[in-house]
Amino acid sequence: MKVLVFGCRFNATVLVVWLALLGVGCQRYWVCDEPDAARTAQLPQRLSQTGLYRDLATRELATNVAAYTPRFQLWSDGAEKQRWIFLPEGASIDTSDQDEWRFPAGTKVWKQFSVDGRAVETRLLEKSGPGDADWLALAYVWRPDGSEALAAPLGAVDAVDTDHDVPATGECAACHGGRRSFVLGFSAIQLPPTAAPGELDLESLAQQGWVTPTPTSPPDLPGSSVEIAALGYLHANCSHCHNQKRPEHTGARCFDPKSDLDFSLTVDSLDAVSSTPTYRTVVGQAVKPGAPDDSKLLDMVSSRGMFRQMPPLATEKVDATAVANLRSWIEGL
Amino acid sequence: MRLRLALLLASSIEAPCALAEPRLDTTPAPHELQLSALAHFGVATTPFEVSSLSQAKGQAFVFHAAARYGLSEPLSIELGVPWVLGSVAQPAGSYVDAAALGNAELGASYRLTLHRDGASLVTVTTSLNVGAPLASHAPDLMPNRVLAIADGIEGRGSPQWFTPGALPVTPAATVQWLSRPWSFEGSLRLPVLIRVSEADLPASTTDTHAMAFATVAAGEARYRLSRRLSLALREQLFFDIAPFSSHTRDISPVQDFERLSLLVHLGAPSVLIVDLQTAIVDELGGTMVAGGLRAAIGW
Repeated sequence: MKVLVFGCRFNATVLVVWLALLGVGCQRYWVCDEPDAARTAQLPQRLSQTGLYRDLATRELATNVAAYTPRFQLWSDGAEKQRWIFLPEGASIDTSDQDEWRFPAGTKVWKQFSVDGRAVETRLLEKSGPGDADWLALAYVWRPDGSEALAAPLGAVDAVDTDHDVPATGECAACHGGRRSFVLGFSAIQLPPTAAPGELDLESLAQQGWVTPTPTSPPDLPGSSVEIAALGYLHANCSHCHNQKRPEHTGARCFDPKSDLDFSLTVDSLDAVSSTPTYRTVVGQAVKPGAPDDSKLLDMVSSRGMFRQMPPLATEKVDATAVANLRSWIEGL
Repeated sequence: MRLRLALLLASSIEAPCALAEPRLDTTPAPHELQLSALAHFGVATTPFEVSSLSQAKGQAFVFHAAARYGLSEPLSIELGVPWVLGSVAQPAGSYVDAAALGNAELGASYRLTLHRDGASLVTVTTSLNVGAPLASHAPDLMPNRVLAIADGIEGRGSPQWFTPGALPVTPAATVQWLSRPWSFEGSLRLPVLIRVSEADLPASTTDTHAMAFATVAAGEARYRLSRRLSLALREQLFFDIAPFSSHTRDISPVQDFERLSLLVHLGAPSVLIVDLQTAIVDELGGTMVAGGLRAAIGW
């Protein structure tokens, strides 16, 4: 049982770190504020009421809902994921900042997590107003028979008899709050040059008039396939916290690393791998060129356990494929 | 009016003689008032009977303030209030800080001396504590969860303190044999929880019961190393006989709990205690470790 997976070493570490930080009055980076329950209550209690499906039973999507798959994905312990976005009729995404798209009020984004082919959870982000902070978030946990998914503002542990944990509403901001756009995985960098049939890419997005101004062309990523995979993994899994353009916020620190590291891939830094923020801020610091076993980054990505794992949230299993690729990348530096 | 000052590190979770350390020395004399406070800090992952959140995990400070007054030589009364401050782990791994009040208790204890001679002393103390259902709860269950963590830090052995929505009634009996340098103690507590509210537990995911019953048995051996130092080892077993809510997963109805203490005697009745407590097996095995502070002052 999960209760028993933590050993004494874990507890001792937690004890010492918690006491030390509390004792000196430090803001603990893993503490988030509770969300405004009244705002969250604006969202429907059932997934079928959120506007994703015209008919949930047949999984027929509603009008103006489109599927997409980002080029680089957040590791979710191997769960299969599907994503959809809805824009209100006539509205468009302000893409004037290529790295921080601004979404119109009424935008909805869903992500469904499935384990062993069975839907477990669907998350919803909905923009309720024009401001960058006007996002509402809520997770829905599927009934075992797949007939409906119900709001789970408190989250869930081992949902639907799987080992998948559903985040509480307050946890959404831990990742999404690190970027002004709030939506992760739907950007000039992340949308694929050519999408799978029926899914969005930059070209189809422009054709539908969903972006203003229209991006000139999909950005080409520099480097070899190993480098692109490494930089893409770090962008998708690390940059929502580790970036230098975090929006200002008050309250709990909530996974603001307050470090100089930046794992972002930005449109204006793609002329060479050495131009990317990762190479400029991470290589030589958390990454020791040619020495993966001496690189803190690889150690953290390869580990699980509070205070010694990265990403720190929503994962309990190591992404072995990513670790192998990161090792190859560091060895080749 | 006499003044007594005691600083105690770590807590005994027993009631009503929780602060009696050594018990024989700190039982309030007639018309004596003792005020005390204790603090424990620890980490724990404990059962939490909401099907979608079947565990409460985090770190917490457990505080308990108590006042005891000696009515007569054998009879004393006690009022105690627990309070918890902690960080509650969320399902995906972040934490939320939360504070919660526990159930205040008012109790009376009666001490009977069975044997006394120049070398040894044997006493029996019986007590009855009745709690006020003041324990915090909220729709987001954060106070409920931080109280559950506190209960875990105390080895699940003090449900009368940390269960929201409950009116607790706790009879207890303690036998102590003192024969210096040794002291032995055995105690039995029988907390009964009577439900007075659902404590914001969601009906769709929690099956609550009208009443709960548990048994907490403990034994402690203490050895006086020197005039200033004693060493104590305590073993406590919690038996969850009738839970307050149906278990949402298969958990052990028994919980062990061990505590190793170093006592620094500052002059009767003042004593300083350094505790390390943990559970090695059952639900809390490997998930909890704690230590703490206690202070008492008396007039």
